[in-house]
Amino acid sequence: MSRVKLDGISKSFGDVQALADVSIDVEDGSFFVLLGPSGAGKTTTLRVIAGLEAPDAGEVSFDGAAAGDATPAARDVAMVFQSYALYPKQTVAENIASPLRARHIRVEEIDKQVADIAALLHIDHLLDRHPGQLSGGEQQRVALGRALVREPRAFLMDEPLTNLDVKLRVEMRAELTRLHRHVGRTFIYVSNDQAEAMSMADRIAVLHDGRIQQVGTPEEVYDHPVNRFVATFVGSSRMNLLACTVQDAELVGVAGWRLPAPRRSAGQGTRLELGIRPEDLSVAGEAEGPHVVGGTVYAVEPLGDRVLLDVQVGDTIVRVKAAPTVSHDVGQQVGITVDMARIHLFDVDSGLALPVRDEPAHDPVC
Amino acid sequence: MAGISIQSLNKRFPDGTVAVHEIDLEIEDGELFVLLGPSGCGKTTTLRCIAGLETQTSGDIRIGDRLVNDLRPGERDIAMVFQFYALYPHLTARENIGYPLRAAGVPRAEAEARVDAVARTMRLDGLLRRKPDKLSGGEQQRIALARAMVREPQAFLLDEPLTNLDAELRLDMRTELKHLQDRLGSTMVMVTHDQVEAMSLGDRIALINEGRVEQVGAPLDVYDRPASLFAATFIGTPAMNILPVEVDDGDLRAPSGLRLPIPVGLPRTDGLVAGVRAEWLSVTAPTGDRHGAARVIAREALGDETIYAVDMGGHRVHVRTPPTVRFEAEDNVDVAFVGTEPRVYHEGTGRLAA
Repeated sequence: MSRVKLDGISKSFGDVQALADVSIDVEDGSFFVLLGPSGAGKTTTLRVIAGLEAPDAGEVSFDGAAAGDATPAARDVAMVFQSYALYPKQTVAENIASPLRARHIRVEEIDKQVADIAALLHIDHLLDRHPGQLSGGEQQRVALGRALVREPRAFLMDEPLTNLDVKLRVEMRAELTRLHRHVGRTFIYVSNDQAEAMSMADRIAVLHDGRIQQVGTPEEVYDHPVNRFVATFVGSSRMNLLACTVQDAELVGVAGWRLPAPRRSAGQGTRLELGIRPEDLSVAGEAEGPHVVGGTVYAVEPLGDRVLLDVQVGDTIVRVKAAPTVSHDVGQQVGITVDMARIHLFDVDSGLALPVRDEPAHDPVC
Repeated sequence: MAGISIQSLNKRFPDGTVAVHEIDLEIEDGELFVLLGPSGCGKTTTLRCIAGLETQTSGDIRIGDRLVNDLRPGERDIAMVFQFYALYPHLTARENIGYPLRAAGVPRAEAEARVDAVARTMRLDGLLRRKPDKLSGGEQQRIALARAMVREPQAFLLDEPLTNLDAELRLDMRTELKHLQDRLGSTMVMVTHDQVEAMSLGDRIALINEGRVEQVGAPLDVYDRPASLFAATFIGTPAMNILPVEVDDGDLRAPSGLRLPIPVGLPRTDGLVAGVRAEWLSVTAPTGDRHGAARVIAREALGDETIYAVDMGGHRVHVRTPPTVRFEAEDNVDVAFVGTEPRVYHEGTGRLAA
């Protein structure tokens, strides 16, 4: 069993603080994703868990036992990287078996385990081939197989799908969640791709500048971001942000629009940013009316299942996700209807989310 | 600005590789035309032939009404844009935009006037004295585009211009490019392997596969009516579901008893497969009527939508749903067709049957 816990981890490289007070609690058997842009500290966090880096402060524990300065091998975790690092002169079967051979396990037992893993990964027909004869996706599966065959207490994966093309990456996402369910062990997975995190994770920790911004389920992080960074980093079409101030129970946009201020928003004159996702906006008939913001169509981007309408509101481009049949011309005046139940408000200076709705507050680090 | 006409273009490299095979394209004056395809399909070679950076083995290329087969790149009056962000760091925005004119020996006064005009069009007036490191990513992109435009070429050729930008900038630049092209009415030919980019930017798309044109059409035509199995599976995320079907009692019968309407004019033959987009299907709790029974393999909650991968009689099928639809892995569900009609292809040839 393997519940992985990080408590107050800090780590600097020279003058650069890579991690600052990082605490996470990864439940046994869960699929946990460390999400953030490059330089956020995700990989360093993973290397601290693996025992490849020693933290300056804080503690890593497995099932309540501090890992201290235990070696990576003693921690019994398996790492999977974005480069596959397969042995080119060995067959697929030999590559998968390599961690077992080092442990002096009987040949029949090795063959059986390799066959089981290969079947699970749908690579049983490739066992006699060499890595050079495989596609990128197949090589990645072999690398996964080699990690799985050890049956470690936890899998640490560092952007393993990054080098695959988009199509394959999307397929491998479903494959990895299926695999995770099957092996039932703890997966800690590093990614800079929010769609990957959203689609696979039981829980996500969003990292930025070496600090944990928020930990939660994909829905929590998407629907209730705790700050502007999380709000704009998570989501396939970035959340729109519109500068405004609170005046007499209204939010008044810099561009001149007015919307009713939520009951719980800040006091008179406070400068805020209104955050609203493209799918929570729709195009209204005219540019006036309740909950409507007026603008000019700037560009129309069909996506197939949806159309992305870029509307200029003052100096800002607001993106609206509309039905694929919606057709508008560039330069046309349109009204955008705002779903007031789905808005977010952020403090201009701190970027922190302000309470909008009467609902239980979400603990940023839970 | 001018249209571009390509007739029977062939390109064979000295090692015998056929990169381009009998490609015909009519690119209209003022349109943004996208060459889309996987790596190695011949799209970049086609673009380089238009630019004059490669010489075709056979075939004709016309820019406007001028046959350019024997003209050097500099004589074709086109601008090739590789990546938008390659600005000279030591030059101001104004100097960067004016660089191609200085290089071409355009008189100073005329060059200044043209830079001013382009800067006005692209709303860069306030930024002209700054150097690139004092500009935002989006502003740098606009300057790079202005630099390509200042020469007033007949057409722009863009080779994966957005590929190396980070995700956020790519989205902004896509919007910016779309807006400018729409307003300026420039002829642009763009190469990309990214189908979302092609869909969102192109007035029309030519899908290229193994050196041949697979389909030419407006983005939504190509999306809704892929002309071949290749087109069906290349465009769209997730890829179109491809399911073996049999004609039966006025319906198409797909795996697991899923019923699909028969498109008009479908021949009664064996070896048919149906192409069904993920958003043409729905998932519901099982009703027990044995039609479209499925088991959830994976649920991908993407925030604004949820994609289910389900197993239907051994076939993996993707279904796009609103985020409010909630099933878990291993749940039994019913899948139903909620679109207008599926596309049907001959499995052997990959061509559209109806």
